[in-house]
Amino acid sequence: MTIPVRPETDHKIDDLLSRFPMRGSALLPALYLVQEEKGHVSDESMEYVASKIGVSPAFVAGVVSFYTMFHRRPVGRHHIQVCRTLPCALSGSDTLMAHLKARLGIGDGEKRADGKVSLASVECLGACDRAPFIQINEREHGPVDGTKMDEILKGLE
Amino acid sequence: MSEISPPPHQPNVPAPAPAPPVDRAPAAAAALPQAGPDEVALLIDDRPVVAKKGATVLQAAEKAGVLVPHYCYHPGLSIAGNCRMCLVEIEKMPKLQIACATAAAPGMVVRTANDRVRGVRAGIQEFLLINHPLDCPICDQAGECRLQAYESAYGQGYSRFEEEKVHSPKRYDIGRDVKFDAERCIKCTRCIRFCDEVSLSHELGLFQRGDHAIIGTFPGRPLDNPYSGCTVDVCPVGALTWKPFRFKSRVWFLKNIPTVCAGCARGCNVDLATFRDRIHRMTPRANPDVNRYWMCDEGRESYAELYERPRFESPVERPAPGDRVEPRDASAPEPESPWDPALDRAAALLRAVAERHGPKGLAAIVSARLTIEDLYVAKRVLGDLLGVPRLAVPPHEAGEDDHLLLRRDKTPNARGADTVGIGAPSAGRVKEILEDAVLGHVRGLVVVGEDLTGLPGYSESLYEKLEALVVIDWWKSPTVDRAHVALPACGYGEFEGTMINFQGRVQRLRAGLRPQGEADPVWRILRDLGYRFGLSSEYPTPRAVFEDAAAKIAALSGLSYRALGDLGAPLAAARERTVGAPAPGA
Repeated sequence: MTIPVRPETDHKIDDLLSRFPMRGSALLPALYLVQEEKGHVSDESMEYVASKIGVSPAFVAGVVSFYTMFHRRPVGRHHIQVCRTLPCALSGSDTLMAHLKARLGIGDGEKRADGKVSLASVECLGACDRAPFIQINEREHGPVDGTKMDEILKGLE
Repeated sequence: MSEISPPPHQPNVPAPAPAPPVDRAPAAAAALPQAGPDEVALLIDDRPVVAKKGATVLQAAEKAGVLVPHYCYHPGLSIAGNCRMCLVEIEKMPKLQIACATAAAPGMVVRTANDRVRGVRAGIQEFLLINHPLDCPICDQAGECRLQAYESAYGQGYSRFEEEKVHSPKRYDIGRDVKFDAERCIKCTRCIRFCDEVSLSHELGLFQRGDHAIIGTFPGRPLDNPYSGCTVDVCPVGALTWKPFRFKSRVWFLKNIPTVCAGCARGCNVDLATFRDRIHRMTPRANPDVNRYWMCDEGRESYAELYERPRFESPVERPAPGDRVEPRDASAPEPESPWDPALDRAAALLRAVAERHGPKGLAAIVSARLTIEDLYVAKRVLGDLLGVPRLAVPPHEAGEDDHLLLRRDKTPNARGADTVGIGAPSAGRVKEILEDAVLGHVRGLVVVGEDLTGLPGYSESLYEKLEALVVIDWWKSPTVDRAHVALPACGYGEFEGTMINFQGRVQRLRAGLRPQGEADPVWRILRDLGYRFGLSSEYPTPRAVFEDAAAKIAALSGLSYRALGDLGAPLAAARERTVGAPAPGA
């Protein structure tokens, strides 16, 4: 099988594997490394990670599909994630989502044609005290309402 | 066996709802029975139970005859503990516990059917049915579905769910012969665990989460392993269905015959589901000594051959060189059965060869697909009475042995042929006989259950010198087409008998279908032929043949149909090795 990642990433995963007593424990960090390099986790990457860890590709695909932080397809340069779990939902994350859809002209799980922004509703981002909460790439924002959202979007232009 | 049998492959399907038990004060510890060093004694629903150390509460309860409902637990798979249906109350534990993953401990007091437990079961049922399509009227699993059985036994009987159900993909091919209906799936993960732990093929996974969770395969890698049908067997609901069986019959019309697969030397225990004289499916029957809970797809589909290959339905006679048998008087009344004239003619042809060329001019090729009864009568009639000096059994080797059940040897009864004294399958001996037939040394040939075409040493020219070719077979074949007398035999599912698998285990095959046309079991055809050579003993049934064989063959000594039961028994040598061990299946 051809290795779909750069040699540095491959070495990093080898290094990871040496640090865990059980190889399976390295699955999430290994997937992160792949996503860091590629921007998303393709089928090919999942097969590669599965062979590295020693589990089945179906198991890796199960993990990748369980967690919203792994992308099966390339996302935009700014990937906006809106928390939809209960505290955020009660604080108006659905209104915020509707606002974002209207402003960006894309739906949940879509990417704008220019590749600049993508939008996704996700499971708990772990910041219920700042609900409704969003995350854009690695940066977190909350609580966010329509006005605040517009300001953040302006900063992205 | 009743006309309507319980589901064959689903041990521990619930009995009808038990009467609500009376909640009593904690039972006295004095009621506990004595337990040995490797055992634990506990109380389950006030019944004293002794279980092996390490057994779970569910297993201990099952042993005591208390059925704890469950979906995800399967005795042949690891414990997942995800369906929560087996929750029981254990004294001194504040919360209910899952019986499938809680070890039975000494002195435990378990209640499996009080109001608290039944309330939770009703809740689990309601939860599992929230997004279930309730398409029982068109679902193939109806009649053997645990959701149905448990809803009738423990459910509340109505739903409070008024919202839109989550819709998932319906009836798509997840593998070559398996269809998947995601809406019916309750995510018990039995199928995933089967692929991970038993077939070791790892195709299935659980994707997404929550109410969107769905069983599936990795892109481009469908469910494709030699045991894929077992995922259908372990599915407790109608999510995975076996394509060849879909919409063939409602399961309550099926009659399950406990028998043995004749696809290879393993001899997996199976249930033959028949309806209106037709086999509709084959499913594994649990036997810890042979196939545990599983069978291969090849065996599962083997019955299809019965309906694909042409059979011949009554005896066929053709002119033979030097045949001195007078043609039948045209004015004489038609014989009641075509058997007597055909057998008379076969006997006359063989006797004529023996007279002209001596017994050395005779040989026989018999199949290791025959039962012990068939082979034993073949040995007696052809070998002992007719004096045929050479009886050979062709080997049937194809494929490879694998880690689970598949055997390279595709004959189900090679050990049986050896045990009755015909000898182990040997390509060399078959080749010798066929080459001698070409040279004219063999002039009379009896072939039982085999097609000569393709056997070692076969050449079209061997028919030129043959003065008697008597063939007993269930299929039409090029050999049957050349036979001077061809006698139709019962096919799989139509005959009773026993076979010995490669481990040396003697197992019973049972009949579930009426013989096609005039077909008769091989042992009876050979017996009737034997009467013409002076066979004096009476063999009214295969049971009588087996009893005679058991009395005369040391390896079979002590065995009878009763002793074999449903799970079979080892040959004498193996039994001696385990003197004092519990009887198989005990």
